[in-house]
Amino acid sequence: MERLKAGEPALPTGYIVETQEFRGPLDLLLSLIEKEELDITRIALAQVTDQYLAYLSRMPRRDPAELSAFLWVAARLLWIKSRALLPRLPLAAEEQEEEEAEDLVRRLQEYRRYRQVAAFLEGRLKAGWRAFGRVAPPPLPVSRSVELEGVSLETLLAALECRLAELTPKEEQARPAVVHVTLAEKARLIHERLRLFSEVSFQELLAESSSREEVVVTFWAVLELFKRCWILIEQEELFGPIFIRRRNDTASAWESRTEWWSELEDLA
Amino acid sequence: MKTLLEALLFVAAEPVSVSELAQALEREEGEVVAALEEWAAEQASRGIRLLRLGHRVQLASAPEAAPYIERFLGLHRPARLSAAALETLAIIAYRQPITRSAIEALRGVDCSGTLHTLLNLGLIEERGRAPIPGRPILYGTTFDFLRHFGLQSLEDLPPLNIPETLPEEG
Repeated sequence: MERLKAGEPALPTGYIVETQEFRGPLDLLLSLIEKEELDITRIALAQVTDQYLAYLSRMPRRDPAELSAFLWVAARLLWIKSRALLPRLPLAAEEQEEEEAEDLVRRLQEYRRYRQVAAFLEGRLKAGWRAFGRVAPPPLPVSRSVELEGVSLETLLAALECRLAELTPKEEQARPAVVHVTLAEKARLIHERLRLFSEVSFQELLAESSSREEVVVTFWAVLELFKRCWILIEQEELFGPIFIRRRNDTASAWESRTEWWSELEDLA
Repeated sequence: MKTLLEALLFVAAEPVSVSELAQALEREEGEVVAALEEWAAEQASRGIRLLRLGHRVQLASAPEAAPYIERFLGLHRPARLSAAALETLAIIAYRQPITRSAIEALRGVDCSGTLHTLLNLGLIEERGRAPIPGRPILYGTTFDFLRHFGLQSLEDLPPLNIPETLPEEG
């Protein structure tokens, strides 16, 4: 603006180009033509050439690449205008030159359509007509995790796995001759304990086991007793200690149902 | 068939292609397309619409529900797009896949910054490279573009009446 006051060439009379920012030379050119309510023709291009140049001379500073784009169109406009003003000369090259003018006209026409579509899109944005996809994708199948409520066989299994990992000796040590423990023996042991105590810690039972085999049999025995409704298994909290209690409602049947014991013998 | 399609589209998290749907349903792609069109027509007055982009489809909410969804989910209105960005989008939407230089020829100005912005916003994506010297990147619009403007497909854009074939004919 300072530069303008310092002494710019006078603007063409009758029309002052707005100082708005244009998106490019075509945008500017089209705006000028529309302001004059002209159709996009070669004649119209010639008519707005002065205004275009006037805008260019007082255009806010832009980067050189952008400026060159404006200048390129300016050169074309000047050429078109000169062709319109001068009497036609039967030059051989004329036809091709006219073609070039028509090319600019076509580009402007196409550009105008895209500018209209841009306005259409802006209208949709302003109306706020957005569409939304799903916010959260449907859950993917996850691996079955340890249940958090109550005690289940799965919880026991997971605990056993942890325990087994802890119990596995780092190195093979010299061991006494392998003693085989049967399912029935372990079941009877648990049975005996529960006659003496109201509850038995599952961890304790495992700790008494001297081999991996015994641990497995102990676990198996607990499961079998549970399945047969002879014992209750309780765990207060996740990963907390597990207690085995006798079921008072079935306890009396333990002794009398000898066939159950023989079943256990058979399982082993 | 329509019922099954609806169920598949409901559980699909991403846009799915017609061929994927056909495979899952053990039907011909042509049948799937016909059923999709029928289903989409029935949904015209419902809250869920079918978005189409090329051979892919996806469910989306009805555009008129946008203000309520924004309130429901606590979303902000999207940021305004600059005039240059809208213009560039318009060109890509009609002429995709299109190279940067072709866009610049139409707009008459450099577009690299604008393209970068649109890519970051996910409104356009790269669509391979043009088989011409330099193998320039081709750009196309995305499902986000459709959603952003509440369009069901590119056919929702106003028709473009340009004698664009003229230069080739000469």
